[in-house]
Amino acid sequence: MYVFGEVLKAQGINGEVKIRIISSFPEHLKNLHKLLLKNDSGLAELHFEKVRIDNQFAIVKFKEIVDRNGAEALKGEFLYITQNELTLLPDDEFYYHDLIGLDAYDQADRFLGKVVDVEEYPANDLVIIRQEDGPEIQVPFVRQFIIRVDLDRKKIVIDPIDGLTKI
Amino acid sequence: MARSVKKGPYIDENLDKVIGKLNNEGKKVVVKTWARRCTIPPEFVGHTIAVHNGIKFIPVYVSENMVGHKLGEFAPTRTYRGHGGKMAERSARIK
Repeated sequence: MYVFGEVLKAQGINGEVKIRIISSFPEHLKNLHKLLLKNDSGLAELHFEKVRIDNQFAIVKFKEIVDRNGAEALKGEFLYITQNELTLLPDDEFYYHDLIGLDAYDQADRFLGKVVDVEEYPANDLVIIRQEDGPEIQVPFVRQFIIRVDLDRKKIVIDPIDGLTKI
Repeated sequence: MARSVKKGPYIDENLDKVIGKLNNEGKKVVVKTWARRCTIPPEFVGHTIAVHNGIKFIPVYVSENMVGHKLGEFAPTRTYRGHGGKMAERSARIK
């Protein structure tokens, strides 16, 4: 299950809620019919009645929520989608959760470490690789450094230029 | 108030010297700098500059559309890691 958004507040008196869309693809909400909510008894499905998207936010009316009290109870809850509902990505784009955990190698097939995080920066994303014996390596997610990402073999090949491993 | 046009853009002297040397030698090395106020000239394109954000160095690969901006714009000093944790539907594209 993957986080799609977070309920910010109740909107109006008819049970609508305002959602902050955490996903990189806000427009994907239009293709969905439901979102999942974690509760004490497991998972509950919330089906859409009406959806309005405004950049990273959306006003959603769920069929299961009929009044403001019900909407207020959702405040702060995360809403999820299943693996099958994830947006299909082009070849040069990868989900953070797919990148995290990959084994990083250099071009000489020398093991560098494991990818432990992906950080978002204005210029480029950074892949954080934890070395077994040494500091973390921050590798810009650009073609000049990322040679190959092989999700099947759980492997990422990078070209660490001089100085990149010693920042 | 904007910087006077007469002076031209501010470019850190040391950084300019180092990148100029790398360009002459045709080398690619990560260059560390604290000069966040340095404007990016076209000579920096293709180099990776590790810009200090007050805590650590952020490697910035300089591309053509960054020319004219300051280095500090690409290494934010405040971090907002967002909500949803690592299992959010978020993606990274190889630029």
